[in-house]
Amino acid sequence: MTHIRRSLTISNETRHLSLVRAVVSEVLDASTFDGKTRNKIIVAVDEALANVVEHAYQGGTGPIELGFDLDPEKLVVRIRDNGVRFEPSAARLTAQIDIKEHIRLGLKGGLGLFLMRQIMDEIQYVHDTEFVNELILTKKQPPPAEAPAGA
Amino acid sequence: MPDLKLRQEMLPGGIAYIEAEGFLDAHTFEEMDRLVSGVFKQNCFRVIVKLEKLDYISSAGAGVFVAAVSRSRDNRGDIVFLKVSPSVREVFDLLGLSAIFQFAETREEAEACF
Repeated sequence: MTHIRRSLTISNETRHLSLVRAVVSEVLDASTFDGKTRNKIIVAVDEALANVVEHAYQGGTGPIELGFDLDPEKLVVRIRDNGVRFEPSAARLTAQIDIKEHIRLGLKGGLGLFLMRQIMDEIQYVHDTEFVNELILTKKQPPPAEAPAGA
Repeated sequence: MPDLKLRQEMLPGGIAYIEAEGFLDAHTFEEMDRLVSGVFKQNCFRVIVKLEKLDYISSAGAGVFVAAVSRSRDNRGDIVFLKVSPSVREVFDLLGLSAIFQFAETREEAEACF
Protein backbone atom coordinates (compact mmCIF):
# COMPACT_ATOMS: atom_id res chain seq x y z
CA MET A 1 0.00 0.00 0.00
CA THR A 2 1.08 3.52 -0.75
CA HIS A 3 2.58 5.83 1.79
CA ILE A 4 1.38 9.36 1.24
CA ARG A 5 2.81 12.54 2.66
CA ARG A 6 1.36 15.98 2.02
CA SER A 7 2.05 19.30 3.66
CA LEU A 8 0.80 22.82 3.22
CA THR A 9 0.99 26.14 5.00
CA ILE A 10 -1.92 28.54 5.29
CA SER A 11 -2.48 31.87 7.01
CA ASN A 12 -4.83 31.85 9.98
CA GLU A 13 -7.97 32.70 8.01
CA THR A 14 -11.17 30.68 7.93
CA ARG A 15 -11.45 31.13 4.15
CA HIS A 16 -8.75 28.44 3.80
CA LEU A 17 -10.81 25.77 5.58
CA SER A 18 -12.54 24.51 2.43
CA LEU A 19 -9.19 24.14 0.63
CA VAL A 20 -7.79 22.09 3.51
CA ARG A 21 -10.90 19.88 3.53
CA ALA A 22 -10.28 19.20 -0.18
CA VAL A 23 -6.65 18.24 0.54
CA VAL A 24 -7.72 15.89 3.35
CA SER A 25 -10.24 14.32 0.98
CA GLU A 26 -7.51 13.74 -1.63
CA VAL A 27 -5.23 12.09 0.92
CA LEU A 28 -8.10 9.89 2.13
CA ASP A 29 -8.78 8.72 -1.44
CA ALA A 30 -5.70 6.52 -1.04
CA SER A 31 -6.85 5.08 2.31
CA THR A 32 -8.92 2.03 3.26
CA PHE A 33 -11.38 4.08 5.31
CA ASP A 34 -14.99 3.76 4.13
CA GLY A 35 -16.86 6.78 2.80
CA LYS A 36 -18.60 7.61 6.09
CA THR A 37 -15.36 7.45 8.04
CA ARG A 38 -13.61 9.64 5.45
CA ASN A 39 -16.31 12.29 5.87
CA LYS A 40 -15.95 12.13 9.63
CA ILE A 41 -12.16 12.50 9.45
CA ILE A 42 -12.62 15.59 7.26
CA VAL A 43 -14.90 17.01 9.97
CA ALA A 44 -12.36 16.25 12.72
CA VAL A 45 -9.48 17.94 10.86
CA ASP A 46 -11.70 20.92 10.00
CA GLU A 47 -12.69 21.29 13.67
CA ALA A 48 -9.09 21.10 14.84
CA LEU A 49 -7.91 23.61 12.27
CA ALA A 50 -10.83 25.99 12.88
CA ASN A 51 -9.86 26.09 16.59
CA VAL A 52 -6.23 26.86 15.75
CA VAL A 53 -7.24 29.53 13.19
CA GLU A 54 -9.49 31.19 15.77
CA HIS A 55 -7.27 31.05 18.83
CA ALA A 56 -3.57 30.62 17.96
CA TYR A 57 -2.64 34.18 17.06
CA GLN A 58 -5.20 35.94 19.30
CA GLY A 59 -6.44 38.47 16.76
CA GLY A 60 -3.08 38.75 14.96
CA THR A 61 -1.93 36.94 11.86
CA GLY A 62 0.46 34.05 11.42
CA PRO A 63 1.11 30.85 9.53
CA ILE A 64 -0.32 27.41 10.28
CA GLU A 65 1.51 24.40 8.96
CA LEU A 66 -0.36 21.19 8.16
CA GLY A 67 1.11 17.75 7.61
CA PHE A 68 -0.71 14.60 6.48
CA ASP A 69 0.96 11.23 6.74
CA LEU A 70 -0.93 8.15 5.56
CA ASP A 71 0.84 4.84 6.02
CA PRO A 72 -0.68 1.34 5.81
CA GLU A 73 -1.61 1.41 9.48
CA LYS A 74 -2.81 4.91 10.21
CA LEU A 75 -3.44 8.50 9.23
CA VAL A 76 -1.54 11.12 11.21
CA VAL A 77 -2.46 14.80 10.85
CA ARG A 78 -0.23 17.48 12.34
CA ILE A 79 -1.34 21.09 12.80
CA ARG A 80 1.44 23.42 13.92
CA ASP A 81 1.55 27.07 14.84
CA ASN A 82 3.78 29.57 16.58
CA GLY A 83 1.05 31.50 18.34
CA VAL A 84 0.05 31.50 22.00
CA ARG A 85 0.83 28.28 23.86
CA PHE A 86 -2.33 26.20 24.23
CA GLU A 87 -2.55 23.47 26.84
CA PRO A 88 -6.08 22.21 27.40
CA SER A 89 -6.67 20.59 30.77
CA ALA A 90 -7.19 16.83 30.95
CA ALA A 91 -10.74 17.57 32.11
CA ARG A 92 -11.43 19.61 29.00
CA LEU A 93 -9.96 16.91 26.77
CA THR A 94 -12.23 14.26 28.21
CA ALA A 95 -15.35 16.30 29.00
CA GLN A 96 -18.64 14.90 27.79
CA ILE A 97 -21.17 17.16 26.13
CA ASP A 98 -24.73 17.34 27.40
CA ILE A 99 -26.36 18.47 24.19
CA LYS A 100 -29.76 18.93 25.85
CA GLU A 101 -28.13 21.35 28.27
CA HIS A 102 -26.48 23.15 25.33
CA ILE A 103 -29.90 23.63 23.77
CA ARG A 104 -31.50 24.67 27.06
CA LEU A 105 -28.83 27.34 27.49
CA GLY A 106 -28.73 28.25 23.79
CA LEU A 107 -24.95 27.68 23.61
CA LYS A 108 -23.31 27.90 20.19
CA GLY A 109 -19.77 26.78 20.93
CA GLY A 110 -17.83 24.03 22.66
CA LEU A 111 -18.78 21.25 20.27
CA GLY A 112 -15.62 21.04 18.13
CA LEU A 113 -13.30 19.24 20.53
CA PHE A 114 -16.12 16.81 21.38
CA LEU A 115 -16.53 15.98 17.69
CA MET A 116 -12.77 15.51 17.23
CA ARG A 117 -12.71 13.06 20.14
CA GLN A 118 -15.69 11.13 18.82
CA ILE A 119 -14.01 10.65 15.45
CA MET A 120 -10.26 10.26 15.97
CA ASP A 121 -8.44 7.55 17.92
CA GLU A 122 -5.92 9.89 19.47
CA ILE A 123 -5.58 13.64 20.02
CA GLN A 124 -2.30 14.96 21.35
CA TYR A 125 -1.12 18.47 22.11
CA VAL A 126 2.68 18.64 21.86
CA HIS A 127 4.95 21.54 22.81
CA ASP A 128 8.62 22.39 22.88
CA THR A 129 9.33 21.22 19.36
CA GLU A 130 10.33 23.79 16.73
CA PHE A 131 6.72 24.99 17.03
CA VAL A 132 4.92 26.50 20.00
CA ASN A 133 1.91 24.25 19.46
CA GLU A 134 1.58 21.00 17.60
CA LEU A 135 -1.75 19.20 17.53
CA ILE A 136 -1.53 15.59 16.36
CA LEU A 137 -4.64 13.67 15.30
CA THR A 138 -4.35 9.94 14.64
CA LYS A 139 -6.80 7.45 13.13
CA LYS A 140 -5.98 3.77 12.62
CA GLN A 141 -6.79 2.35 9.20
CA PRO A 142 -8.69 -0.89 8.69
CA PRO A 143 -6.61 -3.59 6.96
CA PRO A 144 -7.02 -3.45 3.15
CA ALA A 145 -8.12 -7.07 2.68
CA GLU A 146 -10.80 -6.97 5.38
CA ALA A 147 -13.91 -8.80 4.17
CA PRO A 148 -17.20 -6.99 4.68
CA ALA A 149 -19.26 -8.22 7.63
CA GLY A 150 -21.53 -11.11 6.71
CA ALA A 151 -19.68 -11.85 3.44
CA MET B 1 -19.70 29.45 -6.46
CA PRO B 2 -19.81 31.06 -3.02
CA ASP B 3 -19.05 28.83 -0.03
CA LEU B 4 -22.60 29.22 1.27
CA LYS B 5 -25.75 30.19 -0.62
CA LEU B 6 -28.85 31.09 1.38
CA ARG B 7 -32.40 31.79 0.26
CA GLN B 8 -35.28 32.81 2.48
CA GLU B 9 -39.01 33.33 1.97
CA MET B 10 -42.12 33.56 4.12
CA LEU B 11 -44.73 30.81 3.79
CA PRO B 12 -48.43 31.27 4.52
CA GLY B 13 -49.12 30.85 8.23
CA GLY B 14 -46.11 32.89 9.31
CA ILE B 15 -43.52 30.18 8.76
CA ALA B 16 -40.08 31.22 7.57
CA TYR B 17 -38.49 28.96 4.95
CA ILE B 18 -34.71 28.90 4.49
CA GLU B 19 -32.70 26.94 1.93
CA ALA B 20 -28.97 26.47 2.42
CA GLU B 21 -26.52 25.25 -0.20
CA GLY B 22 -22.76 24.65 0.01
CA PHE B 23 -20.66 24.70 3.18
CA LEU B 24 -21.75 25.83 6.64
CA ASP B 25 -18.46 26.01 8.51
CA ALA B 26 -16.38 28.34 10.70
CA HIS B 27 -16.00 30.63 7.67
CA THR B 28 -19.69 30.96 6.76
CA PHE B 29 -21.71 30.30 9.94
CA GLU B 30 -22.14 34.01 10.68
CA GLU B 31 -24.14 34.43 7.45
CA MET B 32 -26.62 31.80 8.63
CA ASP B 33 -26.61 33.30 12.12
CA ARG B 34 -27.48 36.75 10.71
CA LEU B 35 -30.27 35.32 8.55
CA VAL B 36 -31.87 33.38 11.42
CA SER B 37 -31.52 36.35 13.79
CA GLY B 38 -33.25 38.53 11.18
CA VAL B 39 -36.16 36.07 11.04
CA PHE B 40 -36.45 36.04 14.85
CA LYS B 41 -36.40 39.87 14.88
CA GLN B 42 -39.61 39.77 12.87
CA ASN B 43 -41.13 37.75 15.73
CA CYS B 44 -41.19 34.64 13.57
CA PHE B 45 -40.11 31.57 15.52
CA ARG B 46 -41.45 28.82 13.27
CA VAL B 47 -38.75 28.04 10.75
CA ILE B 48 -38.19 25.34 8.14
CA VAL B 49 -34.56 24.91 7.06
CA LYS B 50 -33.94 22.84 3.94
CA LEU B 51 -30.50 21.23 3.95
CA GLU B 52 -30.74 18.96 0.91
CA LYS B 53 -27.94 20.80 -0.90
CA LEU B 54 -25.83 21.57 2.14
CA ASP B 55 -22.72 19.49 1.48
CA TYR B 56 -20.91 20.18 4.71
CA ILE B 57 -21.55 21.34 8.26
CA SER B 58 -19.06 21.80 11.09
CA SER B 59 -19.71 22.37 14.78
CA ALA B 60 -19.76 26.13 14.15
CA GLY B 61 -22.67 25.64 11.75
CA ALA B 62 -24.44 23.15 14.01
CA GLY B 63 -23.94 25.58 16.89
CA VAL B 64 -26.03 28.19 15.05
CA PHE B 65 -28.90 25.69 14.91
CA VAL B 66 -28.44 24.63 18.56
CA ALA B 67 -28.84 28.25 19.68
CA ALA B 68 -31.65 28.91 17.19
CA VAL B 69 -33.68 25.83 18.20
CA SER B 70 -33.32 26.93 21.82
CA ARG B 71 -34.52 30.47 21.07
CA SER B 72 -37.42 29.37 18.86
CA ARG B 73 -38.67 26.81 21.41
CA ASP B 74 -38.47 29.47 24.13
CA ASN B 75 -40.87 31.46 21.96
CA ARG B 76 -43.32 28.61 21.29
CA GLY B 77 -41.85 27.88 17.91
CA ASP B 78 -39.36 25.40 16.53
CA ILE B 79 -37.00 24.75 13.67
CA VAL B 80 -37.77 21.80 11.39
CA PHE B 81 -34.96 20.47 9.21
CA LEU B 82 -36.12 19.40 5.76
CA LYS B 83 -34.37 16.81 3.57
CA VAL B 84 -31.07 16.84 5.42
CA SER B 85 -28.14 15.60 3.30
CA PRO B 86 -26.47 12.39 4.58
CA SER B 87 -23.15 14.08 5.43
CA VAL B 88 -24.91 16.76 7.50
CA ARG B 89 -27.10 14.16 9.20
CA GLU B 90 -23.93 12.30 10.17
CA VAL B 91 -22.64 15.34 12.08
CA PHE B 92 -26.04 15.86 13.75
CA ASP B 93 -25.88 12.17 14.80
CA LEU B 94 -22.36 12.53 16.23
CA LEU B 95 -23.44 15.55 18.27
CA GLY B 96 -26.59 13.82 19.53
CA LEU B 97 -28.77 16.40 17.78
CA SER B 98 -30.77 13.90 15.71
CA ALA B 99 -32.68 12.86 18.83
CA ILE B 100 -33.51 16.48 19.68
CA PHE B 101 -34.13 18.26 16.38
CA GLN B 102 -37.27 17.76 14.28
CA PHE B 103 -36.83 16.39 10.75
CA ALA B 104 -39.12 16.09 7.72
CA GLU B 105 -38.85 14.73 4.19
CA THR B 106 -41.51 16.92 2.55
CA ARG B 107 -42.52 20.54 2.97
CA GLU B 108 -46.06 19.50 3.96
CA GLU B 109 -44.67 17.17 6.60
CA ALA B 110 -42.43 19.99 7.87
CA GLU B 111 -45.35 22.45 8.09
CA ALA B 112 -47.39 19.87 10.01
CA CYS B 113 -44.66 19.71 12.70
CA PHE B 114 -45.69 23.11 14.13
